[in-house]
Amino acid sequence: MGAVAWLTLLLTHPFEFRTLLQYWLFHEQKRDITSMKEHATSGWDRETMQRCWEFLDMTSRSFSAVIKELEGDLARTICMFYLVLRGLDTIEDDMTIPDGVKQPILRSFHKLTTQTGWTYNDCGEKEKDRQLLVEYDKIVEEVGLLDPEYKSIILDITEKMATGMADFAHRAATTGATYVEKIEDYDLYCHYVAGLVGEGLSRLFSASKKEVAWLGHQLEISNSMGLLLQKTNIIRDFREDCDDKRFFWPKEIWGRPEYGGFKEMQEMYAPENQERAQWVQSGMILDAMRHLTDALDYLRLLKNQSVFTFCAIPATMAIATLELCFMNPAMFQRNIKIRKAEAASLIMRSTNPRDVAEIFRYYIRKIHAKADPEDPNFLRISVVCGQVERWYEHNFPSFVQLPSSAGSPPSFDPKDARTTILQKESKIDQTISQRKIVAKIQERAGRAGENKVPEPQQGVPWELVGVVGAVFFIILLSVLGVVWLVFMFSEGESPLAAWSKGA
Amino acid sequence: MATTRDIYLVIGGSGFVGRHIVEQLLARGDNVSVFDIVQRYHDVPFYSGDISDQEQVSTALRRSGTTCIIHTASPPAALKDPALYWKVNVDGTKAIIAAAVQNRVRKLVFTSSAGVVFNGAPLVNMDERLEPPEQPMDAYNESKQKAEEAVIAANGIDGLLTVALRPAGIFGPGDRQVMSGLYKVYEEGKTHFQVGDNNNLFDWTYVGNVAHAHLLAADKLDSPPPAPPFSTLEEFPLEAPPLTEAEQNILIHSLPPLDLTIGRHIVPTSEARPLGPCITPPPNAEKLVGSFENKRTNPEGRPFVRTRFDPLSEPNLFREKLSNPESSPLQVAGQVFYITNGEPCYFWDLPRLVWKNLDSMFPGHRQKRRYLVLPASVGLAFAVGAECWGWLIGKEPALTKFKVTYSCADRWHNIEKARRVLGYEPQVGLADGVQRMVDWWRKEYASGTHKTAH
Repeated sequence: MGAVAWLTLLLTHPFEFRTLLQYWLFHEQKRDITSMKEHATSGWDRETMQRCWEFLDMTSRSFSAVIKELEGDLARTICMFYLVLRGLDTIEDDMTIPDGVKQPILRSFHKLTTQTGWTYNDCGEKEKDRQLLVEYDKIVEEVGLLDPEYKSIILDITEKMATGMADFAHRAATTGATYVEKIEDYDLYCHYVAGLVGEGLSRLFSASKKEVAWLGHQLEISNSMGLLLQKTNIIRDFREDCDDKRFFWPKEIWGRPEYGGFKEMQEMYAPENQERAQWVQSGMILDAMRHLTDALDYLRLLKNQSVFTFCAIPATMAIATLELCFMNPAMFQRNIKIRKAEAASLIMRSTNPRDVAEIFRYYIRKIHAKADPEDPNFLRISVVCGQVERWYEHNFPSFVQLPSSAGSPPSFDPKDARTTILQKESKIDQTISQRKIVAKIQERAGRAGENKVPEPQQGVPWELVGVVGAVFFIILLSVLGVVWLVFMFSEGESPLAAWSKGA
Repeated sequence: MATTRDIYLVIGGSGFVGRHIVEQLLARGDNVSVFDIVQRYHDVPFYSGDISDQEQVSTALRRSGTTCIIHTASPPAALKDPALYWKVNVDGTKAIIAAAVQNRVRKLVFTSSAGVVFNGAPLVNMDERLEPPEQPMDAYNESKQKAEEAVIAANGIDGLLTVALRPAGIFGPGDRQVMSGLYKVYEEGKTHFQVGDNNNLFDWTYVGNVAHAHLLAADKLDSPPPAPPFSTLEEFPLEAPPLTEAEQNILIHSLPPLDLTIGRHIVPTSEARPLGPCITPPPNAEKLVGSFENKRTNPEGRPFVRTRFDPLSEPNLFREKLSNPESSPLQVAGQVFYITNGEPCYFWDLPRLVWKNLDSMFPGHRQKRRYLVLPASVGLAFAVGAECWGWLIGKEPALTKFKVTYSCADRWHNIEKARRVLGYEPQVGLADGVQRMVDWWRKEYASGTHKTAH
């Protein structure tokens, strides 16, 4: 941003200025992929890989920095995965390529990505990422240098995505079908273009050993994560897509009689239809929101910090975008997006599962605050927000108050009924400890009884030992109580090894 | 399902919840009679009497041949006479227990209330471990708590098996408290008032789901415990014994999502998806589609994490077994269960949906107005003032501390125990339930019978 832009921001949005200044000052790149010590994993020493990193910066302005933060060779691997998919997407998006030409390219894209020297020079002039395909031979070369396991994952996902994209593109081109009819087809399209990315990334995380092996098998939640991100973009890009004559919203939602029974999607931006269009908007956002708890479940499973950040940032951006779109008639007239300062704030705060869950809860409450009882989805919105609240309280119960200084045990909200339960359990634990003490004393008394018969005088020292032992255990009980609290804090705070079907 | 069919007596069967239980029992062909003070329906044998009179209850039990009592009788929650609560809820329940033992009735299912543990403090994700407060919120909840206590204490006496269900926020057709209260607010033009920020969740339960839970509890009361209660062991264990296979089966299987209101959607994956507009079906097409369709009825569970705070974690189950050694926490008999729709929503949202539905019955009655929001603290101050003023002039105040506390507190529950042990899943969602309640109210209003309720 230029000096004039900064100054304007300071005068018009001082709080945003403060956030962006903090972001600029403190949010530092931790890993420099250009440095010599990183060359073994970043590939910066190769001219082709340098070019690939440049393409990443060009095609993913906001997210390339997050990709570069990934540890080891994951950064380079996911950079290549991203570029392959971007190339595929560019061909799929290009309306100037006739279907007869597009189909064979899409369906063999996973093979072309291994064909040395392959490039494509016939993308339309307006396609902003066409240069990637003009130099696709560099992507081919670098994919060839990846670890074989990474490479096979990337190509497998690419094949599945390309086939799905080709099927949808072919139907649009040959049948003249303008609209996606059913929610099931909408979900399937999102699976092809985004859910499979979630699957692929999960398998790459597992293959890198930076996450557990079974993460790659959690297909339901990795797909759901992908669907959340894709649906958010489809909702937000409504006007831009309509202007380009591309329609992704399923008619099963926007054509519903309870929303006014629209016949064409363009009807939704007529001013007289604003209220009914907002019910449709609410229905679309409700559909996306049912993926929220899956996204939180997925993030909860991640252990590696850079992987977590990589996955969490798009998720928090998505929930913020859904909140921006909800009950927002401007969405039907122009492209809207969250402000830079809000994005910067989310990036800085998306660092651990609890904070991410808190961000989700913050935004669903803002969505709920805008809900209108006249909206046919009113109660459904309330229930889906309640789901996120339930997830939050189950995983990070709010009555646990984190200590302000590191190393102190957590405290518990005395007004919360769950604290009463903890106190009751503490008493039960004391009872258990007392019983153990009694059992030990009885055991010693039994031995003392045996010794008492041959040598009566030695009975007195054994009794004394028993008493001392009892005192010792009482002291130990206090220590155990403290340890128990600390252990409970650490147990509650860090993710436990989750049970899964694979285990 | 029980090996032999039970013969049911629904005490309070003319009432709101009781009537739904009777209808569900009839629908599945069971033998059912009703004991109540008023007869409103004529499709089952009816016994009139006072439940606090043990002899009258005994007579009904003998004549009907009852093997299972479902006790739902209770005065409405808003009465002014505390003595009536005690007489019906406490003395009445004790009389029923005594009569059941006397006549060798085998099963007793009691309708308690989720309110028995409420004392104004928020109940967030509340589970069955919380004991009732020493200072009850009001006379109604105190009497329900004492009754529940008596029922659970009676488990095992002369072979009697007992269970208590704690439904939350019951609503639906036949309701004469929630719906009439909301209608009154609507009629008086006060629907734009809001106390609190409406960020507190509240659990509602459709009445048909409450009835369904009662039938499940009755059917499973005589299921054997999945692990022997500690009182039956030769020696009290000081370490948690490993879970039995039966216990693990209960605790580990995936529960379906609670999605009646928002609808069930299946997430497609590369191993389970529809074919869509495909040109060449993939070689495993049949398997892909089959797996996808299978998820509709057998949805995939999520990887779940049991934290230290989870009531069904192993350490907490061990604690529960120690503090209540006569019963297993994963058994039905001797236990209490929260019953809700599993879809908590923000407090004011269900009332607002009801009022919106009333708009179509009374067009033009209500003008669109901005909500007048009172913060909880201000509402409480007004309530104290209103109660003082009401006390001075001898009139019931419209705003009370209880109402303010109730409107601003979280009150929602963890029903995992009911889902796992009873196999309870709500059958009717919130939105559908509201529609059914309003439709019923519409008919009542059109026939003019709503006036008799006031």
